[in-house]
Amino acid sequence: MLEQVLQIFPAELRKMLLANKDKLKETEEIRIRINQPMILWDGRKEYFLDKLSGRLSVEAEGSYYIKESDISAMLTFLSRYSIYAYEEELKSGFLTLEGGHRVGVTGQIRMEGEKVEQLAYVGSLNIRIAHQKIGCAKEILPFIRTEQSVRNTLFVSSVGIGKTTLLRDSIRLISGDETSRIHFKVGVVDERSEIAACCHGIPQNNLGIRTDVIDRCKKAVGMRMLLRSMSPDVIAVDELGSMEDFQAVDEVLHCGCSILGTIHAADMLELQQKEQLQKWLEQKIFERYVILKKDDEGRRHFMIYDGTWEKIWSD
Amino acid sequence: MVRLIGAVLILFGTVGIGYDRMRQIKRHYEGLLDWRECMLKIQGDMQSLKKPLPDIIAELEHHAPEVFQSFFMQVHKELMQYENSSPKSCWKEAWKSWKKREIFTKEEGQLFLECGRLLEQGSGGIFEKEAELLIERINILIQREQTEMRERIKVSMYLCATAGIFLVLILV
Repeated sequence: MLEQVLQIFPAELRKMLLANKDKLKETEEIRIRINQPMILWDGRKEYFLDKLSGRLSVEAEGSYYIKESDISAMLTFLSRYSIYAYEEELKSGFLTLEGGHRVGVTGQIRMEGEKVEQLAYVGSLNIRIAHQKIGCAKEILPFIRTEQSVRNTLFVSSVGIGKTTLLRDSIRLISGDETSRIHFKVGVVDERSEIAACCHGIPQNNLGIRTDVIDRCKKAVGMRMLLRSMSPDVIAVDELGSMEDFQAVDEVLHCGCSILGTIHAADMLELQQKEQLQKWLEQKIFERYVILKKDDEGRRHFMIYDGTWEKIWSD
Repeated sequence: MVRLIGAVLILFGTVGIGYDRMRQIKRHYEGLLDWRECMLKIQGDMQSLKKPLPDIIAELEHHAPEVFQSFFMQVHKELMQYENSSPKSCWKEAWKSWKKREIFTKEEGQLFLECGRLLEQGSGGIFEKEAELLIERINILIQREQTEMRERIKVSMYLCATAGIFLVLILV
Protein backbone atom coordinates (compact mmCIF):
# COMPACT_ATOMS: atom_id res chain seq x y z
CA MET A 1 0.00 0.00 0.00
CA LEU A 2 2.83 2.37 0.81
CA GLU A 3 4.32 1.74 -2.63
CA GLN A 4 1.63 3.94 -4.18
CA VAL A 5 2.69 6.79 -1.90
CA LEU A 6 6.43 6.32 -2.31
CA GLN A 7 6.07 6.17 -6.08
CA ILE A 8 5.35 9.88 -6.28
CA PHE A 9 8.63 10.86 -4.64
CA PRO A 10 11.78 11.60 -6.65
CA ALA A 11 14.11 8.60 -6.81
CA GLU A 12 16.60 9.95 -4.25
CA LEU A 13 13.94 10.72 -1.63
CA ARG A 14 12.15 7.48 -2.33
CA LYS A 15 15.22 5.43 -1.45
CA MET A 16 15.62 7.31 1.84
CA LEU A 17 11.96 6.83 2.75
CA LEU A 18 12.03 3.14 1.80
CA ALA A 19 14.78 2.62 4.36
CA ASN A 20 12.26 3.80 7.00
CA LYS A 21 9.39 1.64 5.78
CA ASP A 22 8.43 0.36 9.24
CA LYS A 23 7.98 3.84 10.62
CA LEU A 24 6.07 4.92 7.51
CA LYS A 25 3.36 2.38 8.25
CA GLU A 26 2.36 4.47 11.27
CA THR A 27 2.62 7.79 9.43
CA GLU A 28 -0.61 9.67 8.88
CA GLU A 29 0.67 12.68 6.98
CA ILE A 30 3.74 13.71 5.03
CA ARG A 31 4.14 17.46 4.60
CA ILE A 32 6.09 18.76 1.66
CA ARG A 33 6.87 22.48 1.44
CA ILE A 34 9.33 24.23 -0.84
CA ASN A 35 12.56 25.19 0.97
CA GLN A 36 11.30 23.65 4.21
CA PRO A 37 12.13 20.34 5.85
CA MET A 38 9.93 17.40 4.98
CA ILE A 39 7.79 16.51 7.99
CA LEU A 40 6.20 13.16 8.77
CA TRP A 41 3.44 13.03 11.35
CA ASP A 42 2.07 9.91 13.02
CA GLY A 43 -0.78 11.55 14.90
CA ARG A 44 1.33 12.32 17.94
CA LYS A 45 4.81 13.42 16.93
CA GLU A 46 6.61 15.04 14.03
CA TYR A 47 9.57 13.35 12.37
CA PHE A 48 12.19 14.74 10.00
CA LEU A 49 14.31 12.91 7.49
CA ASP A 50 17.98 13.26 8.30
CA LYS A 51 19.86 14.28 5.17
CA LEU A 52 23.05 12.36 5.98
CA SER A 53 21.90 9.19 7.70
CA GLY A 54 18.56 8.93 5.88
CA ARG A 55 16.91 8.02 9.19
CA LEU A 56 13.82 9.57 10.70
CA SER A 57 14.52 11.84 13.62
CA VAL A 58 12.60 14.20 15.91
CA GLU A 59 15.27 16.85 15.32
CA ALA A 60 14.79 19.27 12.44
CA GLU A 61 18.46 20.21 12.30
CA GLY A 62 20.31 18.51 9.46
CA SER A 63 17.07 17.30 7.90
CA TYR A 64 16.25 17.07 4.22
CA TYR A 65 14.91 20.33 2.79
CA ILE A 66 12.51 20.14 -0.11
CA LYS A 67 13.73 21.71 -3.34
CA GLU A 68 11.64 23.17 -6.14
CA SER A 69 12.78 20.32 -8.38
CA ASP A 70 11.44 17.83 -5.82
CA ILE A 71 7.98 19.37 -5.96
CA SER A 72 8.12 19.52 -9.74
CA ALA A 73 9.05 15.85 -9.97
CA MET A 74 6.39 14.91 -7.42
CA LEU A 75 3.71 16.74 -9.37
CA THR A 76 4.81 14.93 -12.51
CA PHE A 77 4.66 11.51 -10.85
CA LEU A 78 1.48 12.37 -8.95
CA SER A 79 -0.28 13.27 -12.17
CA ARG A 80 1.28 10.33 -14.01
CA TYR A 81 3.22 12.69 -16.30
CA SER A 82 -0.11 14.25 -17.26
CA ILE A 83 -0.92 17.42 -15.35
CA TYR A 84 -3.29 18.35 -18.18
CA ALA A 85 -5.42 15.30 -17.31
CA TYR A 86 -5.81 16.38 -13.67
CA GLU A 87 -6.58 20.07 -14.02
CA GLU A 88 -9.98 19.82 -12.35
CA GLU A 89 -8.60 17.85 -9.42
CA LEU A 90 -5.76 20.36 -9.00
CA LYS A 91 -8.26 23.22 -9.04
CA SER A 92 -10.21 21.53 -6.27
CA GLY A 93 -6.99 21.23 -4.29
CA PHE A 94 -6.36 17.50 -4.05
CA LEU A 95 -5.73 14.29 -5.94
CA THR A 96 -6.45 10.76 -4.82
CA LEU A 97 -3.89 8.04 -5.35
CA GLU A 98 -4.54 4.36 -5.77
CA GLY A 99 -4.95 2.95 -2.31
CA GLY A 100 -7.09 5.87 -1.19
CA HIS A 101 -4.23 8.19 -0.19
CA ARG A 102 -5.01 11.85 -0.67
CA VAL A 103 -2.55 14.48 -1.73
CA GLY A 104 -3.56 18.04 -0.95
CA VAL A 105 -2.00 20.59 -3.25
CA THR A 106 -1.70 24.30 -2.71
CA GLY A 107 0.22 27.30 -4.00
CA GLN A 108 -0.51 30.31 -6.13
CA ILE A 109 -4.07 30.34 -7.37
CA ARG A 110 -5.40 32.22 -10.37
CA MET A 111 -8.99 33.27 -9.80
CA GLU A 112 -11.65 34.28 -12.26
CA GLY A 113 -14.25 36.04 -10.18
CA GLU A 114 -15.22 33.58 -7.45
CA LYS A 115 -14.00 30.54 -9.36
CA VAL A 116 -10.55 28.97 -9.16
CA GLU A 117 -9.24 29.19 -12.69
CA GLN A 118 -5.89 27.52 -12.23
CA LEU A 119 -3.38 26.38 -9.68
CA ALA A 120 -0.47 28.25 -11.21
CA TYR A 121 2.45 27.38 -8.91
CA VAL A 122 2.53 24.63 -6.34
CA GLY A 123 4.30 25.36 -3.09
CA SER A 124 3.04 22.69 -0.72
CA LEU A 125 1.84 19.12 -0.78
CA ASN A 126 0.13 17.27 2.04
CA ILE A 127 0.09 13.51 1.63
CA ARG A 128 -2.51 11.87 3.86
CA ILE A 129 -1.83 8.18 4.06
CA ALA A 130 -5.00 6.14 4.12
CA HIS A 131 -5.43 3.82 7.06
CA GLN A 132 -8.83 2.25 6.80
CA LYS A 133 -9.66 0.95 10.28
CA ILE A 134 -11.64 -2.16 9.48
CA GLY A 135 -13.86 -3.13 12.40
CA CYS A 136 -13.77 0.17 14.28
CA ALA A 137 -17.57 0.50 14.01
CA LYS A 138 -18.34 -3.05 15.12
CA GLU A 139 -19.15 -2.02 18.68
CA ILE A 140 -21.62 0.66 17.71
CA LEU A 141 -23.33 -1.32 14.93
CA PRO A 142 -26.04 -2.87 17.15
CA PHE A 143 -27.05 0.64 18.23
CA ILE A 144 -27.44 2.08 14.74
CA ARG A 145 -28.93 -0.89 12.90
CA THR A 146 -31.81 -3.27 13.47
CA GLU A 147 -32.80 -6.28 11.39
CA GLN A 148 -35.31 -4.20 9.44
CA SER A 149 -33.73 -0.82 9.12
CA VAL A 150 -30.87 1.55 9.83
CA ARG A 151 -31.46 4.33 12.33
CA ASN A 152 -30.88 7.93 11.28
CA THR A 153 -27.49 8.53 12.85
CA LEU A 154 -25.19 11.51 13.24
CA PHE A 155 -21.50 10.98 14.00
CA VAL A 156 -20.28 13.98 15.95
CA SER A 157 -16.78 15.08 16.85
CA SER A 158 -14.19 17.82 16.49
CA VAL A 159 -11.74 17.85 13.59
CA GLY A 160 -9.33 14.94 13.22
CA ILE A 161 -10.89 12.61 15.78
CA GLY A 162 -12.14 10.04 13.29
CA LYS A 163 -15.79 10.53 12.48
CA THR A 164 -15.20 9.92 8.77
CA THR A 165 -13.25 6.75 9.57
CA LEU A 166 -16.14 5.58 11.75
CA LEU A 167 -18.70 6.49 9.11
CA ARG A 168 -16.72 4.56 6.51
CA ASP A 169 -16.62 1.40 8.57
CA SER A 170 -20.31 1.77 9.45
CA ILE A 171 -21.12 1.93 5.74
CA ARG A 172 -19.06 -1.20 5.16
CA LEU A 173 -20.81 -3.12 7.92
CA ILE A 174 -24.28 -1.96 6.94
CA SER A 175 -23.71 -2.75 3.27
CA GLY A 176 -22.30 -6.11 4.30
CA ASP A 177 -20.30 -8.70 2.47
CA GLU A 178 -21.20 -11.96 0.73
CA THR A 179 -21.92 -13.72 4.02
CA SER A 180 -23.92 -10.98 5.76
CA ARG A 181 -27.36 -12.02 6.92
CA ILE A 182 -28.46 -8.44 7.56
CA HIS A 183 -27.55 -5.97 4.87
CA PHE A 184 -28.81 -2.81 3.19
CA LYS A 185 -28.21 -0.87 -0.01
CA VAL A 186 -26.13 2.18 0.78
CA GLY A 187 -25.62 5.27 -1.36
CA VAL A 188 -22.65 7.47 -0.53
CA VAL A 189 -22.26 11.10 -1.55
CA ASP A 190 -18.52 11.60 -1.29
CA GLU A 191 -18.10 15.30 -1.97
CA ARG A 192 -14.49 15.50 -0.84
CA SER A 193 -13.50 11.99 -1.91
CA GLU A 194 -12.67 11.11 1.68
CA ILE A 195 -15.10 8.28 2.37
CA ALA A 196 -14.57 6.05 -0.64
CA ALA A 197 -11.38 7.77 -1.90
CA CYS A 198 -12.22 7.05 -5.51
CA CYS A 199 -9.35 6.89 -7.96
CA HIS A 200 -10.45 6.89 -11.62
CA GLY A 201 -13.97 6.25 -10.34
CA ILE A 202 -13.04 3.14 -8.36
CA PRO A 203 -13.48 3.27 -4.57
CA GLN A 204 -10.13 2.57 -2.94
CA ASN A 205 -11.67 1.88 0.46
CA ASN A 206 -13.75 -1.14 1.32
CA LEU A 207 -17.34 0.07 1.64
CA GLY A 208 -19.12 -3.26 1.38
CA ILE A 209 -20.61 -5.00 -1.63
CA ARG A 210 -23.91 -3.09 -1.73
CA THR A 211 -22.61 0.45 -1.81
CA ASP A 212 -22.89 2.97 -4.64
CA VAL A 213 -20.72 6.05 -4.62
CA ILE A 214 -21.18 9.47 -6.16
CA ASP A 215 -17.74 11.06 -6.08
CA ARG A 216 -16.82 14.78 -5.99
CA CYS A 217 -20.42 15.88 -6.18
CA LYS A 218 -22.12 18.46 -3.97
CA LYS A 219 -24.02 16.69 -1.20
CA ALA A 220 -27.42 18.18 -2.00
CA VAL A 221 -27.16 17.29 -5.71
CA GLY A 222 -25.71 13.86 -4.99
CA MET A 223 -28.40 12.91 -2.51
CA ARG A 224 -31.12 13.77 -5.01
CA MET A 225 -29.36 11.81 -7.77
CA LEU A 226 -29.05 8.75 -5.56
CA LEU A 227 -32.71 8.91 -4.59
CA ARG A 228 -33.74 9.12 -8.23
CA SER A 229 -31.53 6.43 -9.63
CA MET A 230 -30.09 3.98 -7.10
CA SER A 231 -33.00 3.20 -4.72
CA PRO A 232 -30.83 3.24 -1.61
CA ASP A 233 -32.01 2.08 1.79
CA VAL A 234 -29.46 4.35 3.41
CA ILE A 235 -27.66 7.49 2.26
CA ALA A 236 -24.35 8.41 3.83
CA VAL A 237 -22.80 11.85 3.69
CA ASP A 238 -19.85 13.53 5.34
CA GLU A 239 -19.62 16.99 6.94
CA LEU A 240 -23.20 18.22 6.92
CA GLY A 241 -23.11 21.97 7.30
CA SER A 242 -24.93 24.21 4.83
CA MET A 243 -28.66 24.94 4.68
CA GLU A 244 -28.74 23.27 1.28
CA ASP A 245 -27.34 20.05 2.82
CA PHE A 246 -30.03 20.02 5.45
CA GLN A 247 -32.78 20.65 2.89
CA ALA A 248 -31.54 17.68 0.87
CA VAL A 249 -31.45 15.53 4.01
CA ASP A 250 -35.11 16.47 4.58
CA GLU A 251 -35.96 15.16 1.13
CA VAL A 252 -34.08 11.93 1.80
CA LEU A 253 -35.95 11.40 5.05
CA HIS A 254 -39.28 12.08 3.37
CA CYS A 255 -38.49 9.40 0.79
CA GLY A 256 -38.14 6.77 3.47
CA CYS A 257 -34.36 6.44 3.34
CA SER A 258 -32.23 6.48 6.43
CA ILE A 259 -29.38 8.92 6.82
CA LEU A 260 -25.89 8.42 8.15
CA GLY A 261 -24.08 11.70 8.46
CA THR A 262 -21.19 13.39 10.18
CA ILE A 263 -21.17 16.83 11.69
CA HIS A 264 -18.56 18.90 13.36
CA ALA A 265 -19.15 19.58 17.07
CA ALA A 266 -17.15 18.84 20.23
CA ASP A 267 -20.11 17.47 22.20
CA MET A 268 -23.90 17.36 22.46
CA LEU A 269 -23.99 20.83 23.98
CA GLU A 270 -22.27 22.38 20.96
CA LEU A 271 -24.45 20.29 18.67
CA GLN A 272 -27.60 21.62 20.26
CA GLN A 273 -26.47 25.16 19.57
CA LYS A 274 -26.31 24.67 15.82
CA GLU A 275 -29.20 26.67 14.32
CA GLN A 276 -29.64 24.49 11.25
CA LEU A 277 -30.18 21.44 13.42
CA GLN A 278 -32.83 22.92 15.70
CA LYS A 279 -35.75 21.61 13.68
CA TRP A 280 -34.35 18.11 13.63
CA LEU A 281 -33.36 18.11 17.26
CA GLU A 282 -36.87 19.23 18.23
CA GLN A 283 -38.56 16.68 15.99
CA LYS A 284 -36.10 13.98 17.05
CA ILE A 285 -35.41 13.11 13.41
CA PHE A 286 -32.09 11.53 14.34
CA GLU A 287 -32.43 8.46 16.49
CA ARG A 288 -28.76 8.09 17.31
CA TYR A 289 -25.91 10.50 18.00
CA VAL A 290 -22.47 8.94 18.17
CA ILE A 291 -20.05 11.32 19.89
CA LEU A 292 -16.34 10.69 19.49
CA LYS A 293 -13.63 12.08 21.70
CA LYS A 294 -9.90 11.54 21.99
CA ASP A 295 -8.14 11.34 25.33
CA ASP A 296 -4.66 12.70 26.13
CA GLU A 297 -3.06 9.44 25.13
CA GLY A 298 -4.66 9.53 21.71
CA ARG A 299 -7.25 6.81 22.39
CA ARG A 300 -10.70 7.29 21.01
CA HIS A 301 -13.90 6.95 23.04
CA PHE A 302 -17.52 6.70 21.94
CA MET A 303 -20.70 7.87 23.57
CA ILE A 304 -24.05 7.06 22.04
CA TYR A 305 -27.17 9.15 22.64
CA ASP A 306 -30.67 8.33 21.51
CA GLY A 307 -33.18 10.70 19.90
CA THR A 308 -34.20 12.11 23.29
CA TRP A 309 -30.57 12.91 24.10
CA GLU A 310 -30.31 10.18 26.68
CA LYS A 311 -26.93 8.52 26.84
CA ILE A 312 -27.51 4.87 26.07
CA TRP A 313 -23.95 3.65 25.84
CA SER A 314 -20.38 4.67 26.50
CA ASP A 315 -17.15 2.65 26.11
CA MET B 1 21.08 -27.33 -70.34
CA VAL B 2 23.31 -26.39 -67.41
CA ARG B 3 23.83 -22.97 -68.94
CA LEU B 4 20.10 -22.52 -69.33
CA ILE B 5 19.47 -23.46 -65.70
CA GLY B 6 22.28 -21.16 -64.61
CA ALA B 7 20.87 -18.28 -66.61
CA VAL B 8 17.42 -18.78 -65.15
CA LEU B 9 18.84 -18.92 -61.61
CA ILE B 10 20.84 -15.73 -62.14
CA LEU B 11 17.80 -13.96 -63.51
CA PHE B 12 15.60 -15.16 -60.63
CA GLY B 13 18.26 -14.09 -58.18
CA THR B 14 18.52 -10.57 -59.51
CA VAL B 15 14.75 -10.21 -59.80
CA GLY B 16 14.51 -11.45 -56.22
CA ILE B 17 16.98 -8.80 -55.09
CA GLY B 18 14.96 -6.19 -56.95
CA TYR B 19 11.75 -7.42 -55.40
CA ASP B 20 13.26 -7.33 -51.92
CA ARG B 21 14.45 -3.80 -52.46
CA MET B 22 10.94 -2.84 -53.61
CA ARG B 23 9.50 -4.33 -50.40
CA GLN B 24 11.96 -2.36 -48.27
CA ILE B 25 10.98 0.86 -49.97
CA LYS B 26 7.25 0.12 -49.46
CA ARG B 27 7.85 -0.88 -45.85
CA HIS B 28 9.67 2.34 -45.21
CA TYR B 29 6.76 4.30 -46.69
CA GLU B 30 4.25 2.35 -44.57
CA GLY B 31 6.45 3.02 -41.55
CA LEU B 32 6.06 6.75 -42.13
CA LEU B 33 2.28 6.39 -42.41
CA ASP B 34 2.15 4.32 -39.22
CA TRP B 35 4.28 6.86 -37.42
CA ARG B 36 1.87 9.62 -38.39
CA GLU B 37 -1.04 7.49 -37.17
CA CYS B 38 0.62 7.04 -33.78
CA MET B 39 1.30 10.75 -33.40
CA LEU B 40 -2.28 11.61 -34.33
CA LYS B 41 -3.50 9.21 -31.69
CA ILE B 42 -1.21 10.74 -29.07
CA GLN B 43 -2.34 14.22 -30.06
CA GLY B 44 -6.02 13.31 -29.95
CA ASP B 45 -5.89 11.41 -26.68
CA MET B 46 -3.91 14.16 -24.91
CA GLN B 47 -5.75 17.12 -26.32
CA SER B 48 -9.36 15.99 -26.61
CA LEU B 49 -9.74 13.06 -24.25
CA LYS B 50 -7.15 14.27 -21.71
CA LYS B 51 -6.03 10.71 -21.08
CA PRO B 52 -3.03 10.27 -18.81
CA LEU B 53 0.14 9.66 -20.79
CA PRO B 54 0.94 6.14 -19.47
CA ASP B 55 -2.54 5.00 -20.54
CA ILE B 56 -2.07 6.40 -24.05
CA ILE B 57 1.30 4.69 -24.39
CA ALA B 58 -0.08 1.41 -22.97
CA GLU B 59 -2.78 1.42 -25.65
CA LEU B 60 -0.20 2.05 -28.34
CA GLU B 61 1.90 -0.78 -26.94
CA HIS B 62 -0.91 -3.15 -27.83
CA HIS B 63 -2.71 -1.50 -30.73
CA ALA B 64 -0.10 0.48 -32.64
CA PRO B 65 1.14 -0.96 -35.96
CA GLU B 66 3.32 -3.92 -35.14
CA VAL B 67 6.62 -2.30 -36.02
CA PHE B 68 6.07 0.37 -33.33
CA GLN B 69 4.69 -1.83 -30.56
CA SER B 70 8.07 -2.72 -29.13
CA PHE B 71 9.05 0.96 -29.06
CA PHE B 72 5.96 1.96 -27.09
CA MET B 73 6.42 -1.01 -24.81
CA GLN B 74 9.83 0.36 -23.94
CA VAL B 75 8.49 3.90 -23.44
CA HIS B 76 5.79 2.54 -21.13
CA LYS B 77 8.39 0.57 -19.19
CA GLU B 78 10.51 3.71 -18.74
CA LEU B 79 7.51 5.75 -17.58
CA MET B 80 6.34 3.16 -15.09
CA GLN B 81 9.69 3.08 -13.33
CA TYR B 82 9.04 6.61 -12.06
CA GLU B 83 12.77 7.26 -12.14
CA ASN B 84 12.81 9.99 -14.73
CA SER B 85 10.32 12.81 -14.40
CA SER B 86 10.77 13.79 -18.05
CA PRO B 87 8.60 11.88 -20.55
CA LYS B 88 10.90 13.22 -23.30
CA SER B 89 13.84 11.42 -21.66
CA CYS B 90 11.80 8.22 -21.41
CA TRP B 91 11.07 8.52 -25.13
CA LYS B 92 14.76 9.07 -25.83
CA GLU B 93 15.81 6.06 -23.76
CA ALA B 94 13.35 3.84 -25.61
CA TRP B 95 14.64 5.18 -28.93
CA LYS B 96 18.24 4.21 -28.13
CA SER B 97 17.52 0.49 -28.32
CA TRP B 98 14.78 0.69 -30.94
CA LYS B 99 16.65 2.72 -33.59
CA LYS B 100 18.82 -0.32 -34.34
CA ARG B 101 15.90 -1.71 -36.29
CA GLU B 102 16.63 0.94 -38.94
CA ILE B 103 13.08 1.76 -39.85
CA PHE B 104 13.92 5.39 -40.60
CA THR B 105 16.64 7.38 -42.30
CA LYS B 106 18.88 9.57 -40.16
CA GLU B 107 16.80 12.69 -40.83
CA GLU B 108 13.56 10.88 -40.02
CA GLY B 109 15.11 9.41 -36.88
CA GLN B 110 15.98 12.90 -35.64
CA LEU B 111 12.40 14.02 -36.15
CA PHE B 112 11.10 10.89 -34.42
CA LEU B 113 13.29 11.72 -31.45
CA GLU B 114 11.87 15.26 -31.37
CA CYS B 115 8.38 13.81 -30.99
CA GLY B 116 9.26 13.06 -27.39
CA ARG B 117 9.17 16.78 -26.69
CA LEU B 118 5.48 16.79 -27.45
CA LEU B 119 4.78 14.67 -24.40
CA GLU B 120 5.90 17.48 -22.10
CA GLN B 121 3.78 20.23 -23.52
CA GLY B 122 0.56 19.36 -21.69
CA SER B 123 -2.47 19.87 -23.86
CA GLY B 124 -2.84 23.63 -24.18
CA GLY B 125 -2.14 26.07 -26.99
CA ILE B 126 1.59 25.34 -27.16
CA PHE B 127 0.92 21.61 -27.40
CA GLU B 128 -1.56 22.13 -30.21
CA LYS B 129 0.92 24.17 -32.24
CA GLU B 130 3.80 21.80 -31.60
CA ALA B 131 1.67 18.79 -32.53
CA GLU B 132 0.47 20.44 -35.73
CA LEU B 133 4.01 21.36 -36.68
CA LEU B 134 5.35 17.85 -36.03
CA ILE B 135 2.58 16.19 -37.99
CA GLU B 136 3.07 18.65 -40.83
CA ARG B 137 6.76 17.73 -40.96
CA ILE B 138 5.85 14.04 -41.02
CA ASN B 139 3.39 14.77 -43.84
CA ILE B 140 6.17 16.42 -45.84
CA LEU B 141 8.33 13.34 -45.40
CA ILE B 142 5.45 11.14 -46.51
CA GLN B 143 4.75 13.22 -49.59
CA ARG B 144 8.42 13.21 -50.56
CA GLU B 145 8.60 9.48 -50.06
CA GLN B 146 5.42 8.99 -52.11
CA THR B 147 6.87 10.97 -55.00
CA GLU B 148 10.24 9.26 -54.94
CA MET B 149 8.97 5.79 -54.16
CA ARG B 150 7.70 4.92 -57.64
CA GLU B 151 10.87 6.12 -59.28
CA ARG B 152 13.04 4.21 -56.84
CA ILE B 153 11.10 1.02 -57.34
CA LYS B 154 11.32 1.36 -61.14
CA VAL B 155 15.03 2.08 -60.97
CA SER B 156 15.63 -0.87 -58.66
CA MET B 157 13.73 -3.27 -60.88
CA TYR B 158 15.47 -2.04 -64.04
CA LEU B 159 18.88 -2.17 -62.44
CA CYS B 160 18.33 -5.64 -61.14
CA ALA B 161 16.95 -6.90 -64.41
CA THR B 162 19.81 -5.27 -66.32
CA ALA B 163 22.36 -6.71 -63.92
CA GLY B 164 20.76 -10.11 -64.34
CA ILE B 165 20.89 -9.99 -68.10
CA PHE B 166 24.44 -8.68 -68.02
CA LEU B 167 25.54 -11.47 -65.71
CA VAL B 168 23.84 -14.03 -67.90
CA LEU B 169 25.57 -12.67 -70.99
CA ILE B 170 28.98 -12.69 -69.30
CA LEU B 171 28.79 -15.92 -67.44
CA VAL B 172 26.63 -18.01 -69.68
